[in-house]
Amino acid sequence: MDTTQLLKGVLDVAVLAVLDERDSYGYEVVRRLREAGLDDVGDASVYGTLRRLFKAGALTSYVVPSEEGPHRKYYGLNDAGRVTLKDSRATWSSFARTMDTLLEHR
Amino acid sequence: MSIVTDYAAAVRAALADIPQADRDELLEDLEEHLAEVAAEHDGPLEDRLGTPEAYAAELRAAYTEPVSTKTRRGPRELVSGLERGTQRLFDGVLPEGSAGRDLARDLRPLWWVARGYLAGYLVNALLLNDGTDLWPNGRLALLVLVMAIAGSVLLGGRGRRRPRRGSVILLAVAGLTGLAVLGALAFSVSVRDGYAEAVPSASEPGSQLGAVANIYVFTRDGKPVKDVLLYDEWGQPIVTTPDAWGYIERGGDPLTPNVYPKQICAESGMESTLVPLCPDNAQVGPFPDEAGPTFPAVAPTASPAATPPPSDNPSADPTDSPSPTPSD
Repeated sequence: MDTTQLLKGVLDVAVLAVLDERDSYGYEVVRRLREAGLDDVGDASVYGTLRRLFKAGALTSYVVPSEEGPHRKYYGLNDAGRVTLKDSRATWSSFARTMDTLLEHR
Repeated sequence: MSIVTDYAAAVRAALADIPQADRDELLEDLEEHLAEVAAEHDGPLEDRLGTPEAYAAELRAAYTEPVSTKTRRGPRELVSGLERGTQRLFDGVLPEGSAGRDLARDLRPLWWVARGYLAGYLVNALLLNDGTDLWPNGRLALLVLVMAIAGSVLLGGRGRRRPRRGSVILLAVAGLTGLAVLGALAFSVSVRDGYAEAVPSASEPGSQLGAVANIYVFTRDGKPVKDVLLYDEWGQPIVTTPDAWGYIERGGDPLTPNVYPKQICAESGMESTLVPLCPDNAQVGPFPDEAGPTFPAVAPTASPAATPPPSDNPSADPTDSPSPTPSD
C-alpha cells in the first residue's frame, strides 16, 4: 500500500506530536519525522502543513538568528495546538484499534 | 546560492495564482528550506525535492487541506445541531402558516422555561441527591434550577432579536451556568465519598458527616477518650445525627452538638460493641446512666485477638464485650 496516501491523513498529528516534544524549525521537523520512520514524507508537505497549522492558530513561531546560514523560523505548539493534538491522538487511537481489529479478523 | 534562488523563483511562479498575502505567508520559509537542503546535498535540488512544480503542488495541497482544528464538535455545534433537529421535527408536525404553528410560537417561552426546569431538576436529582421533590430542597439546588432556566430562556431567545450583543450575554450566562454545574458536580462527589460536607446546610448547623452516627475516640494504647469536641477545617463543629440512623440519644447539650462520643443506645438488633441496647423504657423517658462515666463502657484492649463472641446484653457486663483493636 502506498504510504504517501496514508500520510496525508495523519501528517497534521505527526507534525503536532513532533513539535509537542520540542520546538523545531521547518527542516528540523522534516528530519525528525524521517528519523521517526516516516521516510516517505515530502519536504513541501511538511512546510505546507506547518504554514497551515500556523494559520489555523495551532502554532506559535519565532525567528532565531543564526551566525552561519539562514535565520531559522521555529514553530511550537500553543494551547489550541495542544488541544488539537490531544483530540487527534484520541481519534487516531480509536481509529487504529478499529483497523487492527478489522484486519485481524479477515 | 543561485540554485536556491532559481528553484525558489520557479516555485513562486507555479503558485502565482494564490493571493499575494497568502503566498508570502506560505513561502516565508522557502529559501531557508532550500538552503538547508542545498547545504547537506551536492548536486541539483531536483534530485532531492523533485521539480519546482511538483514541490509547489505538494506545498499547495498540504496548505489547503481542511484544517482539523476547525472540525471539532464543540458544545455550540451540539446545541445548534439539536436545535436544527427539533426544528425539522416541528416543521413536520406543524407546517409553516398553520394556526397551530402560530400558537406554538407564542407559547415558545413557556417551553424554554419548562426545558430549563427539567434540566435543572435532573441535575439536582441525579447529582445533588436532591430527591424527587418537584421543588428544590436547599439553596444550591435552587440556584442550579434558576441558572438552568435562565440559561434555557436565553438560549431560546438567542439570535431572534439582537444576535450580536445577545451572543455575548449568552456566553457569559453559559459560562456561569457551566461553573455552577461544575461546582455542583464537585460538591456531589465530595458528599458521596463520605467525607465531611464542606457547606453547612441551612437546617443543620455545623459540618455533617456522611454515614456516621457517632464517633468514638481512643488513645493509641486503647483508652477511651470522652468529651472530645470535633471541628472541621473551617472551624465548623462536626455534627452527627444519631437519631437519623435510628439510635436514641440521651443527654447532650444542644449548644455543643459536637461533643463525642455521644451518649446513644440502640434498639434490639442494632446494638454493637460500642452502642448498648436501650432499656425498654428508653422510648418514654431518659434511660438511667448504666454505663457510668466511662462511656463507652468498653475497655478496648491492645490485644488483637480479643474477639470473644458477643454477649447477649453488652451493657449488663460491658467489660466482656468484644473491643475494637487499635491498629497498632
